[in-house]
Amino acid sequence: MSEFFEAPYKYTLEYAYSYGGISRFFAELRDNARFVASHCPGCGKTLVPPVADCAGCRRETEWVPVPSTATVVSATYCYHLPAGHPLHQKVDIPYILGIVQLDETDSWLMALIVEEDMILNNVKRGDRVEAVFRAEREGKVTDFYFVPIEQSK
Amino acid sequence: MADHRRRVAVVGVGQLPFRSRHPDRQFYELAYDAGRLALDDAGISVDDVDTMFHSIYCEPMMRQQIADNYVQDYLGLADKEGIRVAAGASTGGHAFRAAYAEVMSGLSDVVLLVGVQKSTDVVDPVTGDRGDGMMLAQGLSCDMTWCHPFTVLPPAMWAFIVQQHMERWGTTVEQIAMAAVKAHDNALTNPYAQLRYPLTVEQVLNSRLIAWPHTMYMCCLYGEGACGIVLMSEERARELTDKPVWVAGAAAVSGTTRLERPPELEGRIPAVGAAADIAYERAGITDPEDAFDVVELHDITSGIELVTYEELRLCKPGESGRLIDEGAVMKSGRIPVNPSGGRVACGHIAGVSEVYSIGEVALQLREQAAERQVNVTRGRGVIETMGSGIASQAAVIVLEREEAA
Repeated sequence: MSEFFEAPYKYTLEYAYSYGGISRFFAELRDNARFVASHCPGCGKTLVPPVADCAGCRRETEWVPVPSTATVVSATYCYHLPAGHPLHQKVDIPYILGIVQLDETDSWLMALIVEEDMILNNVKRGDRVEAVFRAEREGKVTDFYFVPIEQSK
Repeated sequence: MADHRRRVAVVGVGQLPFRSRHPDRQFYELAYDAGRLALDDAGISVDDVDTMFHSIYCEPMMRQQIADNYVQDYLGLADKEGIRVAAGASTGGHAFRAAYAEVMSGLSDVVLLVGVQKSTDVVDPVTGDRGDGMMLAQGLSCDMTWCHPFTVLPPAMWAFIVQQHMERWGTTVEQIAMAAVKAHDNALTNPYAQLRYPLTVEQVLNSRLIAWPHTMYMCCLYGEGACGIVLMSEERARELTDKPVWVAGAAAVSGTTRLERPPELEGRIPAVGAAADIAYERAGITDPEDAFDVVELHDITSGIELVTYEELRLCKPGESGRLIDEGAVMKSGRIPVNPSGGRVACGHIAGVSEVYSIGEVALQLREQAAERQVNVTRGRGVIETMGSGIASQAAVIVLEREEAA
């Protein structure tokens, strides 16, 4: 390897990010600790993550409340996360990266699942979970996590 | 409507070794090295190039936006046409698809495509770790609202696809580990591979767990580098070589970014399947199980490799485990997959790996792949590139020799 010289370079960006047409989801999350979903009066699909527009139906969606209970679609036990990632402020490693289907919705949602024991693959598809809303909320998907309430067979 | 489409040949291949870091070269210097090698291989000078295509994925990794502008000037191509394409870890496949259409349409006769990415000049702000810095930089490809707050690691984000494959078809972690072992065995004969040591199934399974079922040795390497390709019209190609490699078909797909999927798509990667179907139709491939001498695909993880066999229609859904068990995908098998060592052992950096894979299949079809040469009987190979949020952007490219069967 030939010679090279390197120097540090630090550059930080900050955002005040607008959620646009799905702002209501995050306002309800932060202010009222509850989930709302988008519902399309055309195709009848109820979605979280919500959408403001249903492309297939060319319709604006409506907001509907949905429960905070859900069924696990997948639970990935994760053992690495770069130290600079902000999730370290919320959970210890390892952690469970969940995909859940909120009750009364037709969609899958990525979310944390928190379980004390952290026995590999103890949380699994079909398990029933319920959202816990953190006391300090800022309108982000890390404002809540799911805990198991019933194991599937 | 009259069909004015022209045949397009891959005439030049330029590759640099995959390394965790090339500290002695900046991004435009790496691009210069790879571009020069591709032009030399084609037997042309930089003045012969009509248009440059840039396969460049990620600005935060590079510490430079619009890197293509700096690259093209440094290569001596200022004031010629130049277009950059970006599509996650399918960047090079998408860029090649655009470059192919460029020549096919008659807009250009000679195109230089260069993929370049610096990635380990960025560091984790807490630990200074370069690999983690790179993961944080590429993390902006995740859905920033719904995914990024939870992880930036593709082996974690895409694990659910592999888990569904295991649930649905009984695919085992041992079979996934066998794909990783195959990758490492193949990389042994590739002088450009980043990891060149053999592994056993036990070593793969006992390596550090990253995100179940993916252990460290089942996950792609991250590094940096550059690769180049020269594409030409038939007329120009025939002036330079009597053994051109033809582009038989190519497709670049943007898939759904939503997670939910119907039961029939569980354990699958629909964007790859769609790209394969379009590319095969364009190439006139009707029996992909028996069409290719060589496959270079994006094993971002070894679990994803198995799913990809099925999306490339190399076997039916659910049969990829059997393909591994039978050894069909070994270098000496019926459908050699990743004789280069693939992303898991040869190396990976989005934007570069894809161009590398295309060049690798061209070298195989030219029977210039040295110790990693496979037996060429059909005269045809396929490249698959895949990446982005939920494995949601993919390209498939079919290359063939003149006398392809």
